[in-house]
Amino acid sequence: MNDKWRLSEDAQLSIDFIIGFTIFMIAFIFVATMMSGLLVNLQSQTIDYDAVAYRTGVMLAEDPGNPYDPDNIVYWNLLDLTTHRDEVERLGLSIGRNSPAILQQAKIEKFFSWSSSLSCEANDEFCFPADYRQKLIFGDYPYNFHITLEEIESGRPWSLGAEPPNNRPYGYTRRAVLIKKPSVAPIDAIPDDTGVGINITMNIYDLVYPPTDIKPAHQVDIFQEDLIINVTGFTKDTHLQSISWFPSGSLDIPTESPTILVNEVPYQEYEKTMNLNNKNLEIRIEQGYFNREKLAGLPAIIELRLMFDVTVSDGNPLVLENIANPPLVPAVLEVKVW
Amino acid sequence: MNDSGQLYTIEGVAAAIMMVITAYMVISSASIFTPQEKHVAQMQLEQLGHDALVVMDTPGENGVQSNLSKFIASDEEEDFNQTYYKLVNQRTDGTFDTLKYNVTIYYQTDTGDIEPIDFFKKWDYHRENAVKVTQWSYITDIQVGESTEVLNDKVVLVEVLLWRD
Repeated sequence: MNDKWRLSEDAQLSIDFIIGFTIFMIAFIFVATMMSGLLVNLQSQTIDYDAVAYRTGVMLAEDPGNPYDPDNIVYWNLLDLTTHRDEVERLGLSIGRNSPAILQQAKIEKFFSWSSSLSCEANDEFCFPADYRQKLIFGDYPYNFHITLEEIESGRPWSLGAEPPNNRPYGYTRRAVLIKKPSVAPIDAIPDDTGVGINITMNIYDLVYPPTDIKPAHQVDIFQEDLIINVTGFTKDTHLQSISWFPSGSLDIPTESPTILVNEVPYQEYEKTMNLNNKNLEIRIEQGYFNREKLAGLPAIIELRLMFDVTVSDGNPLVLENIANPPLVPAVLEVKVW
Repeated sequence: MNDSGQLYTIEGVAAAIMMVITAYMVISSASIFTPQEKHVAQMQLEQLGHDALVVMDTPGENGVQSNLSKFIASDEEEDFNQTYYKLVNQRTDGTFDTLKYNVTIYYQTDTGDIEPIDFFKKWDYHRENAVKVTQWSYITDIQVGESTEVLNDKVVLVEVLLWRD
């Protein structure tokens, strides 16, 4: 045989090398697949849950949510969820960015109106848990959560979601907060005086841009919050004749919410024959009643006029900013995440 | 072929299996201790303690004295205790946590020295894991002759030592 055509045996892989290399590769693949398992021990789930609970607590207590635009009177809690659900980007309960741990009752009521039924999207309520995961909890992992808020003195509770299952470890955070309630303007009727009307003036400019010496926690917010005018001290037969705005026609009083409620019924349906003797007259101007479109054409000062059939006041107008005050109530906020 | 210096296949396989088993045992038994858990609990304690002080230092109405300032001004340590206890201990299900605290107030004397006052000290502190939270508060309207008169018209530092019993 001609050596020229014979294959050389030099520089060939030996069978031993093939076997050795194969075993090495198998071992290498084996170890490489276990590397991810090695990191499992680094991830502590309770710490993760605690962090999410802490973050959620901070957002609820310190963030006013989004949208939040005081200059244009646009707030997430005033949006109707049936049509504007996607515009609510972030849920937060604080009254403002610089007022941590002071929550707004109007936001709380909206936040805790939820449903887990399939028809929730058609109603003005949040879908549990999808909306909250998307707008509050965030993150790719579908965390479960339970959020509760309770006033310390009255024990009035709000709650969202179910308690964590027994023996299930969960992340926990608790915050002490204040709840800013709707402003109340208490008015004492003066039965044997000269005026048959109670007139309450409002300086619209002061209400949109409150004086800087009043802290946000004490400001009367007629846009986001209800405003309650509570007239007491009727000592003889008294009937409410009418409620109107001055200048006349500047604002209408619709039959649909948001409107003005008189003793919890819309003004248009209020029975004017009701005798107020020894009773309270509660006039509630609902949140959202005043809005940018309505305010655009108004004079700087408007007046709400309550007319009665007998004398109830000395005839002098009352200034809303001087008599109205939002109560602050201490409460506890708890977040559980698992 | 010369077979000196060659790995015999059967021994190679055996050695490889032993190495793989060793590697598996080492990796599966490795667990790393993370000491952050304690840190999270302390951070939460700090947050809650400070929240409670801020809530107490927020006046109920504009221009009115806050509860914190009022309790210190009139030396009502039991009123302080009742309010603060609920703020840090009450849970939403109506049960109570087991947080305990001591309160010290630091103020500047007329000569410029910083002096402490034990404002509230009901529980003994036995070196549990504690946090300190502070809040500046303006103290005013103290009647002449009261024990806290030295604090009148001063900004004082309210320091709470807070621990879980």
